[in-house]
Amino acid sequence: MAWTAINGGLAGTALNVNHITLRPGSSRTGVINHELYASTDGGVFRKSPGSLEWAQLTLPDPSNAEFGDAPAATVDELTFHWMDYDPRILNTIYVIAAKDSVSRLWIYRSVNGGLTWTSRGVTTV
Amino acid sequence: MAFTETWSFNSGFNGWTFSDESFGSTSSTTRTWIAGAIRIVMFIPSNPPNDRQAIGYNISPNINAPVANNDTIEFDYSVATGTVNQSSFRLTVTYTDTTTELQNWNSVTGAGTKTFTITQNKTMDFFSIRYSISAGGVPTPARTVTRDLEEVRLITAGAIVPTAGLLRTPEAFIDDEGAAAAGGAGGGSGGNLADISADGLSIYIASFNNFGFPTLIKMPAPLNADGSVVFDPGDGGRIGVQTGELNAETVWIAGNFGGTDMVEKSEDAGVSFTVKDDASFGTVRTFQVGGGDDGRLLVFDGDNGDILETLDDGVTWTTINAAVTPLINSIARLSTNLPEIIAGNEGAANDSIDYSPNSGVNLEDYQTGVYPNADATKVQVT
Repeated sequence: MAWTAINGGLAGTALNVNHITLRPGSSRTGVINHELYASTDGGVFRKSPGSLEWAQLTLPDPSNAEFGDAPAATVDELTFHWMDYDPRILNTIYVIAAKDSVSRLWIYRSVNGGLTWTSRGVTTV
Repeated sequence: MAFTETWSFNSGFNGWTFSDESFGSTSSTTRTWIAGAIRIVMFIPSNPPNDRQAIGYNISPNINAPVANNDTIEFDYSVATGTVNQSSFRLTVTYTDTTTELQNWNSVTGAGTKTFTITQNKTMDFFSIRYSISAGGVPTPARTVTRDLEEVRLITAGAIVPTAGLLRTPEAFIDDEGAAAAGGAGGGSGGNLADISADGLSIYIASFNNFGFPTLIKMPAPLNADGSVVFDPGDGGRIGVQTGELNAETVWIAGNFGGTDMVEKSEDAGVSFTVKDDASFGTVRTFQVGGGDDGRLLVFDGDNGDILETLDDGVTWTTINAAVTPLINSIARLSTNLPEIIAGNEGAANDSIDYSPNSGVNLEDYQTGVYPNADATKVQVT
């Protein structure tokens, strides 16, 4: 079995890939159109079909409404871990982010394949 | 009535962090986890002029627990091995207002229990235990000494519960685990940190609470409400989660709960969990549900190097590998052809990726020299 490295676009802490997920998809003409996502210590990335390059997705700072921390965490301080897609809505993707130094976890959600994201702090009632 | 929170170290380092306080330029100190204890290993050179070594343990810095006058912290320690001239412990409590109180125990020999009595009515930020050893300038040959910290207990008059929102990813256990133990995290970042239910309505997140104990949280997938704790064994050190592929009510978890490595399953979306292991697992390093049947599970037992399989919902377990396998970080199987298994391995002396055509009986090299010694932390088949 031959393997090919596809690290283009990943550098620094982004080479510490924590999780990958393949989001199934198809075009209107029936062409298979899977997209590969990677969560890393340096952000979240997407690789489009046929491309050898990863493109970093833009995520906003995590929500602080649940915690009220001062200062609030910023997205650059986070590491990104498990990610997956909604089995019912293929454009919906989730990723868990952590700032372990202050014991905080967040979950990010995108409903448009990673173009825009919202987040919520993981806490319990 | 008293309430006791116990850190038993049966499953690794829990939420403990470490800070070395070294004195003397020629000694070395290492720490490792052995079953049931944290072990400090110190090397003292021959004829040291006045050589000392010390190491501090620090509990999770966000323990954030209110304590009261006359609450206590106890710790158990074992007999030191090797020639020790002087041995001591120091326990320091740090409160959220940055004040501290501490107690020293000097010239400690043998094994026993030390008790620290809190004198403040405050919120405790964290506590730490420092163990130090000295050669005291006595001419002696070079030697290695060890000391084990076996269990720590926080005993309070009022109930202390984990703080909502103080959570950490359990991924660090692969790195923190001692070399003597082959296993790693069930909840490593490459594996089973979280999963989404088959109906897409709930997300299950494996984490550590602020005491360093495993916790499973269920959140609504639309992120429109806080989560709820659906599994909290109150002790332990690992947790991973995976939902069923077909049934949205099926949730499998594995890890070390209350000091025992085990696998449990919920068939009611996390309302209740039932133990599904056969009580013979070593450290569960990774596991995989399916394919094509939520009652099928592969588990990699890192202590014994075994791949265990159940095809009947955990009623029976079978060791399917013919020989001790490489150290597997992640495992997956083809739902279209169940005997085909892919394993992502810890690098070093192993091949990064192995393939089995026969349900793991034999594992074959599945690469052609690309990153032969890299750590493969996640494999996935589609």
